[in-house]
Amino acid sequence: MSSNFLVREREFLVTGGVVIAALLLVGLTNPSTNLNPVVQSAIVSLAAFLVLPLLYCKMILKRPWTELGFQRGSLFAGIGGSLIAISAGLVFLFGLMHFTPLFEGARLPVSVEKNFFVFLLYEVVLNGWIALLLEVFFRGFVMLLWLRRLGFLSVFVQAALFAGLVYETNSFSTQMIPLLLFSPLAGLIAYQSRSILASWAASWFFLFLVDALLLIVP
Amino acid sequence: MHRTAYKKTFRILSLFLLVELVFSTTPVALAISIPSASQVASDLEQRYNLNLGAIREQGQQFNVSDQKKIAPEASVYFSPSDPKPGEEIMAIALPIYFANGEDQLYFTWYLKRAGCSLGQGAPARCDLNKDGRVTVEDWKIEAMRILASNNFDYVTAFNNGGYDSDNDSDGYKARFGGDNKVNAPNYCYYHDNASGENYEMISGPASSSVSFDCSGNLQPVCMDTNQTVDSTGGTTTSASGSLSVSGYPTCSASGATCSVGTPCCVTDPTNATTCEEVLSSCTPSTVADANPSCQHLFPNAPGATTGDGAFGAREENFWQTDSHDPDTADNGSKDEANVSGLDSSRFKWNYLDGDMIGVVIEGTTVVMTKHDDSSSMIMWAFSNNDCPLSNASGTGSYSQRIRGYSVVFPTIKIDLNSCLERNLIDPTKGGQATNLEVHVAANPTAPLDDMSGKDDGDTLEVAATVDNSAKKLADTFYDWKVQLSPDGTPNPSGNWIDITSALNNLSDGRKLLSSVRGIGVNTINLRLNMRANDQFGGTNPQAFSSFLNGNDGYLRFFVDVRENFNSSGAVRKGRGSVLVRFFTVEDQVRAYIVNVNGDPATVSLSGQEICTGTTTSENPAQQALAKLEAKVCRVIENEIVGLSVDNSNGVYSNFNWTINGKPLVCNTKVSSQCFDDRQGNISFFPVVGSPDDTSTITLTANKIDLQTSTEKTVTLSRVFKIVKPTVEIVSTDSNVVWPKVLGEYRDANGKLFPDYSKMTLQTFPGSTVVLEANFIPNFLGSLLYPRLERAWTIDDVPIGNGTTSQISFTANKPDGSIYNIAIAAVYRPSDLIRKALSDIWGISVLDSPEQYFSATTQLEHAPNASLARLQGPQKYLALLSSYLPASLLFSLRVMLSIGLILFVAGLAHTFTRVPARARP
Repeated sequence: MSSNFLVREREFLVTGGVVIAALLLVGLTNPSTNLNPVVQSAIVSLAAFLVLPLLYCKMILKRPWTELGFQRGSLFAGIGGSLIAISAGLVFLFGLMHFTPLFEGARLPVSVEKNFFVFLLYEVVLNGWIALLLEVFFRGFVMLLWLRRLGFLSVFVQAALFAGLVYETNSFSTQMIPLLLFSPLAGLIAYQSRSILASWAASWFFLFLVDALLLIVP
Repeated sequence: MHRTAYKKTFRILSLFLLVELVFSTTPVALAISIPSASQVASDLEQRYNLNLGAIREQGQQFNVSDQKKIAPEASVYFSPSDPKPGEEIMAIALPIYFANGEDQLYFTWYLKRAGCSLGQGAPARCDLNKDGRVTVEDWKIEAMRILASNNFDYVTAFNNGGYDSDNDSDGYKARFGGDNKVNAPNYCYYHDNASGENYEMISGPASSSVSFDCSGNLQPVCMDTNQTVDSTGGTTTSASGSLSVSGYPTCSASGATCSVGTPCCVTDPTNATTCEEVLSSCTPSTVADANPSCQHLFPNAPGATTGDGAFGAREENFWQTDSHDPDTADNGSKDEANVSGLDSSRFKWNYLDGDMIGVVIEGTTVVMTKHDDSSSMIMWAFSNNDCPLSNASGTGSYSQRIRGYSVVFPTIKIDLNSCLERNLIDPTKGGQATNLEVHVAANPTAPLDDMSGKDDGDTLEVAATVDNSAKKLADTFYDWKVQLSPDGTPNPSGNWIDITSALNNLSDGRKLLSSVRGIGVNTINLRLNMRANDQFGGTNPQAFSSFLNGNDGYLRFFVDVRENFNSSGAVRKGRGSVLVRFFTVEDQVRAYIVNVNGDPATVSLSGQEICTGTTTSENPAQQALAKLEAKVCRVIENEIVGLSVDNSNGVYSNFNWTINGKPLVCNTKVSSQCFDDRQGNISFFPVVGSPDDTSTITLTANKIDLQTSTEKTVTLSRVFKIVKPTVEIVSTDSNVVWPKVLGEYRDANGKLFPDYSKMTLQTFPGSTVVLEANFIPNFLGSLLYPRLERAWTIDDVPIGNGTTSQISFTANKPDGSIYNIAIAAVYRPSDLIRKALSDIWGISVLDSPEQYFSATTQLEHAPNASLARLQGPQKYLALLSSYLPASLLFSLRVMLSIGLILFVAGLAHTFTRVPARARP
């Protein structure tokens, strides 16, 4: 009975183990005193959130990366969902900015505020990179590959996992609020469109709008 | 007529009879005699206690007082006294014996440049007045032009036509004898330093003088009858009728006259006794003949006269002054006054090699003339006060009748310019403070020489300082000499022996003296380890012991210091010396910890010697401190120290112990090792005082020389210094625990010296650390608990039971960890010691409380310490990895983790896969 369960659920269990291992890798890696912490975070995130899912999918499961959502998917759901999600995100964001003190004093880095070229780099490279990592791991690997069977519920589970990771790693900050806010919305886009490309674009655009808002609103 | 004669005869006879009647009854003895002039003078001398000899002395001095008149003089000083080529130097003239104030005098400076000697053939640059030869005029022009022009830009002014006109009214009319001599008669005099005679300067014929009509080579004199003084003080005319010279005749229109005696002509005025020829006539020389006159020594521009009140454009041009500025020198005087040298006691110029300077000062002296007016003598003072009579063209005299008397004025015809050359001064030589002032000091002042062969003698440092050095130390040459003598007198018996070279040529290759010769060698060091049989004295060497006076001797350090200035070889020199009395030590007063016994307490030597100069520590610093303790023994308050001199062979007797010069008594009340009737070779003293106080123990005893069986008195001494007990934590093995290196010091030669931390130690992780408490004074470490309690803590956790001086633990904290290690020590004088202090020396037990002291240190893991401990391939790989970028290593680490996760996931997939035959 139990062996049949293991055989039957091996992919679910093993993939879950890999997800947990990746999260532990991010959360528990001892920082080195010889290297900038930001660089360390970038290296660990790249390995755990991008390289590991891609290799696991390809090498262990021997499945195409489309299983992770690297596909066009439903254009209608992708575009429409993105518009709705971004709108909803902006509404939530507006509420948070006006009715909570979470964004009080929130500002972009000075160099980003003062220099448009740096702002562009910041939005394109940094935000795009962060959004990609999160989309691949949480929406693609966790939601579409691992928790596919949970259906709509998987959207909230992946969002909860992300929130848990932020909490456990003491990473919560003003800059993290848009990511946390858009995590379930991006999950919905990916769930509906079966593509993380749509959710990545939506996340990226949402982050850009938030930064623009912070730049414009005094 | 006949009757009248009879009456007259009768009157005379009557008067005679009356006188006879009056005096015929008076005894002959009471008769009044008529006194002679010499008797009267003798009576006056006796009445007023006048000594004839003294009066003669005064008279003789009075006779020549006319030749003792004060003549004006000048002194010249330079600032700086050691001028360098190109440097600005100031010559300052100090005139004396002038009646004028300094600001009224005329200072004529003259400057002789190198190569500008008098005569022809000198470079054209020297002939400033273009007269075809170099004269003193050129020297004067050189100096006074500098003085008057004050670096005025003459060339520019000349090129701009600045001398086409002159409108600054800067002429100055000079007055003879000084600027304040308004309407005063001018009589200029020359003072002959040899004879003291003042000659009136004339412009007439040099030989014009009074002439007496003596025939042949006869000289005019006045002669009088020879008189001698008899025993009563009276004078007696020579019976032989011989004459002596009483003076010299004067000549007037009425002929030759003498105040005493008669005019005569004699061959030898000094020894003349007879008037060889009567002098009856003479021919007087008049003022008109002599023509007294004065001339300034001012330099003149060609065709012009300085000091004439006119200073036109031509003169301005010549003197290179500003024709539109009446005071080019900006010193408050007009340009011509400056050329005249009025109030120019200071002269400043840029010194060049070979420059020589002089000054002649014109003014009025305090000596009055004999002329019938208000005049005083106008004279000139020279910088070297050197102007001999031989420079004159001739001397003579003239006679002038003043108030009824004929007054003779000696005259001279002389050009004072002829004296200028001999009054040149070299600013760098002769009488100037050009020598280096060298001071030499030695430290310590009473050093000890170790003759025992242990080479524990003091190192004597002798340093020379130069107060007025113009060069840096690196440009100053030092040459040292070391001399030895039994006593410190300048000329000791056997003299001072030069031991400079011998000190580095001793029998067994010992070299005691540092470098003694070279540039910048202002300090030498002499290690006083000379032994009794060391040979000193050059060709006739003698043993070192023969230069000692008892157990002390003297060293004298000479240093010659020299500064070189330029390639011409100009040098400044100086010499200094210092005398150092040293003491030799062969036997030593040894110090011991004491035992206390009995009631009342007595003390005895414990056998544990302190301050031996040795230590078991490998730490160089500890070894150095131990050596220091052999010389100055560190002790703590309220200890009792035992003293002993080895007398096992009985060479010492008649001991006398003192402490700081006061007797140190040891009897049976103090110790059973002492005696009541005499002092022995053992004594004790309590350490009382305050930290940093020193006590000098001195033992004087008779010592028998076993070889010669002679006895001499020797003095041994030992210095004890009271210190606060302290402790420091040190490593027992510097290979395991070592002081942290904070950085490096760089000396002047670029040599690097590591700077070790005194607070932080380092070790390898996992090492067995052994730390030791190092106590000062050293003997504290040998005291047992509870006299000395040692409370160790590591990170505030107590370690041990307070009895050990060492702790040991394993450094097993993670990398980068730090251990805080501390020791708190308590020194408690034993009850017996306190009792002995009280019973023997009356020191209250309340004065000997316990003392607390402590030390802390940090022990940290050395960076890369783990790497350093690896061996073989591990170390190679570790070293390789240490050179890789940290980002690469971190990435590798993460990727390995990813690989591990994938590997495990792959395994899980493999083992949970359903076998093909088991599939439905």
